[in-house]
Amino acid sequence: MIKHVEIDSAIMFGFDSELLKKCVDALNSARAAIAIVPRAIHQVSEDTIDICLKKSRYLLNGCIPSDTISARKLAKLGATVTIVLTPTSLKFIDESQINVMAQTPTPRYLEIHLYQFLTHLVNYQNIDVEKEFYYLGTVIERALKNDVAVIPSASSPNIRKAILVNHIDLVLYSMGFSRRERRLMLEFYPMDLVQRWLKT
Amino acid sequence: MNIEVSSTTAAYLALILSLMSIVLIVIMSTRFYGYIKALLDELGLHIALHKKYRRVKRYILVKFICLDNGFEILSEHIKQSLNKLLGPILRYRCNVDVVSYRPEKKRAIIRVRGEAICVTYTLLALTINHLERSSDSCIAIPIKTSGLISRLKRRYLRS
Repeated sequence: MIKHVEIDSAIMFGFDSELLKKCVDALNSARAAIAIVPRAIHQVSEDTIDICLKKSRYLLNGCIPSDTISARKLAKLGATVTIVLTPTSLKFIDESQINVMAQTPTPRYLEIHLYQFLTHLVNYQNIDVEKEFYYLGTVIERALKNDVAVIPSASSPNIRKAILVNHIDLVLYSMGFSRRERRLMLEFYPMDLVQRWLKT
Repeated sequence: MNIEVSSTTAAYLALILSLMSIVLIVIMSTRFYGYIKALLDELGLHIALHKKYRRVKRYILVKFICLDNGFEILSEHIKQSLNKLLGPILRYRCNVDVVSYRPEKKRAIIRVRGEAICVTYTLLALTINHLERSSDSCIAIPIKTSGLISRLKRRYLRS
C-alpha cells in the first residue's frame, strides 16, 4: 500500500540528503515494516494560506492557524491537511471551529502537539496549565462526539525529549478518556489519514 | 341474640384497637424518623469513607532507554525525581518505591501504595519525567501495571 520513493527523487523535492541517508541506514538495520510519511508544518495567517496546498502530493501538510479567519478557511480547504493544535492556536480552535469542521463533506483532521502542553506542565511555573488541559479535553471530547478525527502527535525537538505512544496513551488516560476513545485516536484515525492522503 | 350483639361489639373493639395501633405507629415513626435518618446518614457516610480511603497496592513494570549515562545511578534517581514531581502534598498519601531493579535488562519494578489515584499520578510523573528542561535522565516507558508482582515476572525477566 505504501509507495516506495527513490532517494534521488526525494532529494529533488527538497529533503536534506545527509539526513535521508541516515534514515535509510537506520531503516535497513531494522527488520520491521516501516512507512515514512514526509511532513511539513506551517504557521499560516489569512494571506499565506496557499502554502498549505503546495506539494500536497508529496508532503502531508499541517497548518497552525494564527487567527480565527485562517482557522475557518483551513476547515474549508480541499486538500488533505491537518489543523495543528498547539497552546498558541488553542483559542482559535474552539467548539464552534469543531462544528464548522464537522459540517464539511470531506473528513477533517485535528493534530495535537502534546509536547508543548507537557513542557508547559513541567517547566513553566507561571502558565495556567490546568486551564490549557481543560480546554484541550473539551475540544477533544467535542471532536470525538462530532466524528472529527483527532490525532495526537509525538513530535518533539530531539530524541532525548521523545514522547512515545505509551506516553501519549497515559496522558490521554489521565485526562479521562476511555479505552475505546484512545484506540480511536492512536490507531484508527492516523491510519485513516495516511490512507486518504495516499489516495489523493 | 345476646351472643350476636357481643360479637359485633367485639368486632368494633378489634377495629378500634387496630386503628389506634396504626395511629400510634405513625406518631412514633414521625418522632423517631429524625433519629433513624441521622443514624442511616452516619452509617452510609462511614461506608463511603471506608471505600474512599482504601489503600491499594500496584506494581508498575518500567523499561528505560538511556542515551549517555549508565543505569547504575538510576535506581536512586527514579525515586528522587518521582517524589519531586509528585510534590509534598501527594507524597503524604502516596508511597513510591523501587522494588526491583536490573541494570542489564534495563527494567525496574516500581511499587505504588496509597489511594487508587496515586497510580495514575505516578504513571503521569514517569511520562513527563524526561521532559524537564535541565534533566539528562533516561526515558521511562511504563509497560504493564498489575496488582500482583508475579504477573509481571515473565515480562520482567525477558531481555
